[in-house]
Formats: sequence, C-alpha cells, structure tokens
Amino acid sequence: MVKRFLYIIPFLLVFSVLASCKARYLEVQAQLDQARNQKKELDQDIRKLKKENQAMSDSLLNLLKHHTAIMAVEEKFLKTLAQKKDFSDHKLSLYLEIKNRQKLTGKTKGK
Amino acid sequence: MRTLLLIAALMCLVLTPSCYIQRYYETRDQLEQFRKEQLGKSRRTHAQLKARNTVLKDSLALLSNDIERMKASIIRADSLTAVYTSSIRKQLGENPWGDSLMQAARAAAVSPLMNSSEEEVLYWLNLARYYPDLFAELYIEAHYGLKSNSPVIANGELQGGLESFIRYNQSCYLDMSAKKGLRLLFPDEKCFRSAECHAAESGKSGYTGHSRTGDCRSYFDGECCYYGSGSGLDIILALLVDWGVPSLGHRRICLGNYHYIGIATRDHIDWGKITVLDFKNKY
Repeated sequence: MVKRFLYIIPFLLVFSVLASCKARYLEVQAQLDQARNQKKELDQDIRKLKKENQAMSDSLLNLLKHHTAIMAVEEKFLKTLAQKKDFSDHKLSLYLEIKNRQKLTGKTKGK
Repeated sequence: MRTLLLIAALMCLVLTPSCYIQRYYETRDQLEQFRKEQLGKSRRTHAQLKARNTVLKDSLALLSNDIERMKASIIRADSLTAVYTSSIRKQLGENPWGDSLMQAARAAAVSPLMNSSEEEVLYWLNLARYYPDLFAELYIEAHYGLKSNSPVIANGELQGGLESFIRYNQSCYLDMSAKKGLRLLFPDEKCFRSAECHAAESGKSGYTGHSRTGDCRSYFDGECCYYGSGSGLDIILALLVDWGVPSLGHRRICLGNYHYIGIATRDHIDWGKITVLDFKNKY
C-alpha cells in the first residue's frame, strides 16, 4: 500500500507543476487579450477623437473667418464713434463760435 | 513492463509542462512587445489627440467669447454714435451753417442759365465741399440702432441690401469727416451746355451713361449723372454715399479738386428725371 502511494507522489508533483505552468500561461494569455482589447478601445477612441478634432478644426476655421469679418465691422464702428467723439470734442465748439460770431455780425449790420 | 509504462507516463507528464513553459515565455514576450510597440503607439497618439482636442475646445471658447465681446462693442459704439449725433445736431441748432456761409453758398450757386432746382443741387454740393465734416455730421447717418440679432453683426458680413447701405454710409461719413474743406464750385456756361445737352439727349432716348450722342459735345473733367427725382440734398447725398458703386467714383468727383460746374435737370423717359453734373478744372 505504501509502495503504491510512493508511486503516486511523482505524478502528483508533476501534475502540480503542470497546473501551475498552465495557470501562469493562461494568465499571460489573458493579459495579452486584455492588452489587445485595450488597444482596440484606444483605436476606437482615436478614430472618434480624430473625427471630433476634424469637426472642431472646421468650426474653428469658420469661426476665425467670422471673427475676422466681425473684427473689421467693429473697427469701422469704433472708428466712426471716435470721429464723432473727435467732432464733438474739438470741432463743435469751433463751429458754434463761428456761428455765434456770424450771428453777432448780422445783428450789427441790421442796426 | 509496468516500469516502462510508468517511465513513459512520467515522460509525458514532464514534457507537457515544458511545452506550457515554452508557450508561457513566448506569450510573455509577445505581450511585452505588444505593450511596448503597438499599445504604446496608440496611447501616445491618443494622448496627443486628446491634448489637441483640449486646445481646440479652448480656442473655440476663446473665439466665441471674443466674437460676443465684439458684438457687444459694436452695439455700444453704435448707440454712443447715436447719442453723439443727436447731441451735436441739437447744439448746432436749426441753422447749423451760419448765415454767412449759407449766403455765400447761395450766391455761388446763382446762375442765369440754371433753374432753381439745379441751383439747389449746387448749393448743397458747395456746402458739402466747404464743410465736409459738418455736412457728414448733419446728413450722413452713421448709426443704425443695431441689435444683437442684426444681420450686420450676426454674420459679420456687410453685404447686400441694408448691410451694404450701412457700409457705404459709414465709409462716406469717415471719408468726409477726415476731409479738409474744398473750394466752392462756380457755374460755368460751357459746362452747363455740356450737361444740358447730355441730359436732354439721354432723357429723350432713355439712355443711361456718359457717351455723347447726336450733336452733344462733352466739356468736363468729371461727370456725374443722377437718374430719378429728388431734392438737391437727396441728389447730393446719393452721389456722396454712392451706394452700390464700389469705385466710389461719384463721391470722388463731388469731393474732387474742381473749379467750375454745370448742372442740368431734364425729363427722362425711363427714370422721370435726369440730373447731369459736369465738373471742370481751371481753364
């Protein structure tokens, strides 16, 4: 009985080594699968990001055009305002002075 | 026999794990290589794209904010322009030109050849030439009561229709504000004959343009034709604003360095009236 049991021991040892090797192999295989899946997900994400970036680049380009156009409009309006302000600040008093002087001359002539 | 069988079984059992060990190392190498090359590359690309994505999003937000700020600035500038305009006009009163200037402009426009409506055109033209900045303040509308949904600022385009009219008005205002006073124009008989003949001939034939037909002979260095009816001020405003004429030729002629002028208004079969203005430099 004991002799038979001694026969089984090497088998058991080998089986345990086999099981451990297989387990480690399967573990690495699973890691490889996981890495592949991860890459697949990343690739999908990359495709999505590329599309999104393309769309955003297009909108940015359009917005830039719009920005340039509206900047020109703003410049014109601000220039007009500056001219008005300039007129109001400097020329108006001059015109009013001339007008008043003319009025005064008219009165003198009338007398 | 039993021992042989036992050895064979043992050999099998030893070889199987060695096979698994070999496959384990192969797979591990494969995994490392995969992680280093393909996965690493994908990760780098992903990170780069994500960074670019963030930059793009930030730029879009920045530009949108800037556009909104500019729109608000345009509306503010427009409403302030309106305030300045009304304040200036109020202070200048009903007779902004002053009696002497009006008398001088009236006197310069008097001609035995021209009728009162033609003299009226020359009167307004001389006022615009003598005080271009004051004329612009009084008669050129440089404010438009803009709102945020106005096409001018919603699209940032000043094209077509009202937007184009605004653009021409604004450019006219800016041109005239920056211009120094020009000399008054005086009526001249030769210029008048040239204008009169062209107005009469064009009116009869329905022609629009500057080429002479029949016995008409041109005598001018610059010519403007206005088709349609309107007061003297309407005609001068139309020529100065020059809406729809990209070269702004009429504005340039009206504010040009000329000495003499002939103005004639006659009937036109298509437009009702035609007014021809012939400008001449020194003899």
